[in-house]
Amino acid sequence: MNKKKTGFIANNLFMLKEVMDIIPLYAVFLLSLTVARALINAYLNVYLIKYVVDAIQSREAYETVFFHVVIAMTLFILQKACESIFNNIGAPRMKQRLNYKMQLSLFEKGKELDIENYDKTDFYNDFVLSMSSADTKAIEVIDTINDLLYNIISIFAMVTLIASIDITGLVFALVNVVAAYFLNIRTARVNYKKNLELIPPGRMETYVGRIFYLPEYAKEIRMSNIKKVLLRDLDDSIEETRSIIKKYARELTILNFSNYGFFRTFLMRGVYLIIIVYKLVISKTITFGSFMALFKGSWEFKNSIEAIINIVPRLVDNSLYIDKYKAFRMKKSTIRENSGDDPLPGQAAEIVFRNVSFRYSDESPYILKNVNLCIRPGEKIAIYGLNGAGKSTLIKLLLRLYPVSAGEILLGGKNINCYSLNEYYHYIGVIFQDFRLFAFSIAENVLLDSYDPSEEERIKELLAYVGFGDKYERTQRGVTSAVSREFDREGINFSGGEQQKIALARTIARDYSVVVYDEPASALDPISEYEINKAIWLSSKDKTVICISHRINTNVKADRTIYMREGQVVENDEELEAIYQIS
Amino acid sequence: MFRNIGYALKNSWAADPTRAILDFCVKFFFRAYVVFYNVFFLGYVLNMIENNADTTYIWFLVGISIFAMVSYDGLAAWYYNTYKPYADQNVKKKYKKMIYKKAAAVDLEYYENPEFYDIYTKASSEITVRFDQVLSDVSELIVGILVNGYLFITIFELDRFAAVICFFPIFIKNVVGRNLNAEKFRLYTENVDANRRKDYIQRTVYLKEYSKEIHTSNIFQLMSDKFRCASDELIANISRYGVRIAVWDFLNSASVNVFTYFIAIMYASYRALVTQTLSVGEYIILINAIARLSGMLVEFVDRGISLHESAKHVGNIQSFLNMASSLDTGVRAVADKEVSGIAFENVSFSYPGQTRLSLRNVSMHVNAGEKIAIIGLNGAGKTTLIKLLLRLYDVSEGKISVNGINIKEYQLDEYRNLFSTVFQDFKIYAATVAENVVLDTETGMEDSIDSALQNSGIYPYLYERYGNAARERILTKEFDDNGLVLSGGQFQKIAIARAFMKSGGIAILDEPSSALDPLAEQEMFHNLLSACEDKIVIFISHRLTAAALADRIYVMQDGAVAEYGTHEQLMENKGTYYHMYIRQNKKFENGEAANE
Repeated sequence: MNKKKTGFIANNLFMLKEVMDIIPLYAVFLLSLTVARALINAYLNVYLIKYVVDAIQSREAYETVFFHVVIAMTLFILQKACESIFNNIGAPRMKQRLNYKMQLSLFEKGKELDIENYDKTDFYNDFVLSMSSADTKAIEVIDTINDLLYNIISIFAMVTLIASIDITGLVFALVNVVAAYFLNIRTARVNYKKNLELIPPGRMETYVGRIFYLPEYAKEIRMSNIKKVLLRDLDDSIEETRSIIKKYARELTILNFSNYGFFRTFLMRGVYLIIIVYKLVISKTITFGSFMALFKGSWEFKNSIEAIINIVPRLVDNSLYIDKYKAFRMKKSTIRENSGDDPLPGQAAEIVFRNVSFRYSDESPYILKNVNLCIRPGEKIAIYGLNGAGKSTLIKLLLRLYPVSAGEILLGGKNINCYSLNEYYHYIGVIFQDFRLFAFSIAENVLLDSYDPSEEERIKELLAYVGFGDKYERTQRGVTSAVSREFDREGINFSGGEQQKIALARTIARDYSVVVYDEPASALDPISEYEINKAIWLSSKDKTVICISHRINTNVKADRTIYMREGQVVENDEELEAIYQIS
Repeated sequence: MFRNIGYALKNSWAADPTRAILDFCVKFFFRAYVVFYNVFFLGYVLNMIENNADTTYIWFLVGISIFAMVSYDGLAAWYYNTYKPYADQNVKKKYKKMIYKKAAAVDLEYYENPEFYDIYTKASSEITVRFDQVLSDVSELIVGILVNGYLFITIFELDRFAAVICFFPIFIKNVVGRNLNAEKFRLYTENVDANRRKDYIQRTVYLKEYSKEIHTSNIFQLMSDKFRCASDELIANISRYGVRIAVWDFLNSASVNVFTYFIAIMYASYRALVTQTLSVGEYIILINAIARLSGMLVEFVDRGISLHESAKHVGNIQSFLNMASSLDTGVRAVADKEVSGIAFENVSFSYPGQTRLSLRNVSMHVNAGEKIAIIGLNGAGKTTLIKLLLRLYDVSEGKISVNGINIKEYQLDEYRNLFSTVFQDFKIYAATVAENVVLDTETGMEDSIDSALQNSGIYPYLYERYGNAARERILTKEFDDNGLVLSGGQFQKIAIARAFMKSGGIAILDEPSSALDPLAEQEMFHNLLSACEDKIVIFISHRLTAAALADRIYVMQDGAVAEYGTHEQLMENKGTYYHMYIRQNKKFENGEAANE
């Protein structure tokens, strides 16, 4: 218990420090403004009221009262002015800077992370994806600490006041708070259980909404009766939700009533009030002003304590996120760390797979089994194999996206891990089956790097070479036209085939020594496919080329054809030869 | 605006009248509770004390008040924890169904229209909120008139000038608030572009789909540069607008309190001390009443604004729900599920809003039981042809008839029911395997489902692993963690099984084998042709070896039919088809293709 507590506080402080490192003034300003606000609010809500009511009762001179109020007002105005300046100028600028710096360093970390981390759905969702809100969470941590500070000051102010008049208010408030605390814990537990049960029907409900919403489902929804299935699912999920709500309603209602009806209204607003009215009227031990001060102060005191109690779960919540943040930061990249920094050979060198086996984890089955393959410098290799034979995996290993589970891959006689990783990707280029375009300009997509206007002609040549057509030339911005409208409002949408051609231009744009194609023509019609193939093989001259395809003519220029079957490489496979009609 | 409010109230009422009434009552009691407790209760008690009233009378007042307040707490606890959440679910369901049914009925072309999407997105996310929001705003406004009116009269009787003070904040809020919002909106508008760019990068960097490219290229550097630019732009915008926003924000947050708190105290103290016309009890009632009333008046105005806003959104929901479909359904029933013929006569078509013809003067005849392949380059109009046949769009010119009758005359749902379609971008649903094949809630078709799965080539895989329970396995992990996730090719086979389901009618397959390897592809086409003997089958394919199996091949080029005939006829013609076939199936060293 004790250990856990220091854990979550330390975590929150850790995040505070992370923010302080980037925008040190943010916390300083925010916290000092909060101290001022807490003191001024306590003064205005309770002390000033007590003062004026007492002054009325004892018939003070009006000038004194007036002067007092003017001073308070000036303080209040000053405090508001400072807050406005900070909230609208300083804070948003600093938050923007925090977002930039924090995200950038997280981006960098993410880029270095082994690809396999992206495959593990849980890790990916929990740790990678959730990092996009790291800076907002960091600000939340500071806000939480800030709220804590506000309420602590407020409590001190109230305790000082109430203790100086009559201690019973504190007792009532505390009883109320303790009761509220236990009732809230109980409520939170019930709600937690309830929400947990509500997740599955909720997911189903969201799913149905999404299907009706997404354009890619619109045709099938019109052409079939799947909508009946979906609406039935909606009915089922709502029914389930209702029965869960019903199951917990009674307990939640009782808890809510005990908290508000009994403890708050009956005890604080009722019994305590009777006591102070008694002191005011019968025993005459307090003044009207004190009566007001107790009335308001005990209430403020209770609210602050309650707020602090509610802040604790927020700190714990923050802490859970911070654990993820730390884990993401600490996550080691095995591939990067095991990478040497030898320079790459000057030109295409021999590639050797020696007894290479691979599986994603110790529990999962082998995807590649004892693969042996030697590719001579400049050789053009075609790889055939049915779905799931391990073709794409072989490529991923060669690209050092995953480490081999056994065996080794050699380039120019040296293990590929010896080479500098960044240079390695200048040496070997690839088009993945599921390639992606970025919503930047055509030129940037071809270069996958920043674009200089002097390269315009070269880009145009490359695009012509892959048969891209001239759709972009008709636009004002030519090769700097953006792909899609996601990033740039004036972007152009390209068809699947056109996108594939842009991606293909990437491999020709750079002087790679080895180029790998994974299904380069899958989205193309026979004529474009033919053009592309010509471009691929003609551009490859002395490069080593490895090409995966189901289509026979993609690979006709290959020097050698190899086959993959159930994770193994075979040089001859009559069945596959027949299927692919290779004679 | 009033029409929209009326529309929302009508829907809210229709969804659940009891809930509407209870909601109003709870809100009314709540306001009454707050005002009574904060303004009158203390003041009355203090007044009685000052006037030396009978103490039993004081205790009686206190007792009754506490009882009333506790009763309210009981009502609220029941309403918010038992009644409302339960009733809300049913109301939500009704609203959602309204949206979904409409979405399923509007023209497909709307789905390609960004404006439609704007309306749809807003309507679907807001229908569950806005109708109720209007109901709640209207209730609050009525309650506000009653409670504020009562408070105002109380203050007015105590002090006329103080009653005037209460209205100051509204004026300040109005002027200052409007300026503040205008400045904030300007900043927001300026930021939209940079924010979008920044969000794009922040999203893309973390997405799995992009990770391979980012790892193996220099694109990351480019992305971080663009991220920095966007960020700098945002900071510059904040600096430009920040000062003005800060000034208005200051006036907005400070001025209200100055009037309702400081000036109220100064004035009330003046009356109590200088003119000596207020007792201590009245003094307390007065300063509390001013603070409450002016606060509630501001809230009242905000409610009005919120109602105005809601009304706009309701207008949006209404326009979505009233959206018309341009495809009029005919009245003729589909008499016979056996299709004896399809005819395209001089069909031309251009997509809405485009002048370019996507199909030009297409004529085509398909007889009972024929197997037709449509081939052509990307963008030649193959898929458009299919969409017209399915009546997802209507022809611009010419006519399509099925069994000799113009398809526009058929009852739309019945007509579409003739087809089993496997689209290029087929979808798999988070439902059982059986439901994914039947695409309906109908049951009792186990045997035909099994044979459809058999024919599409996925049955052995499923049966081997799950036996007879295979049909009832849920696909995807969407809402079942034990859901079945298959490869792209396997999912495609499940989608293809749909084409084997209905007897009679027409099977349409658009690029059905794109994710299959050649072995699976061969099997699939073989089964398709043998199992659908009695059906018309129309398929689009880039793989010409598959097209060669058809009874007739139509070659599309630039929206028109370039040539048609059997594989042998077309090869003899040495036209487009011949060239495509050669290019796809021969090495380019040997054969004419290499010389071009």
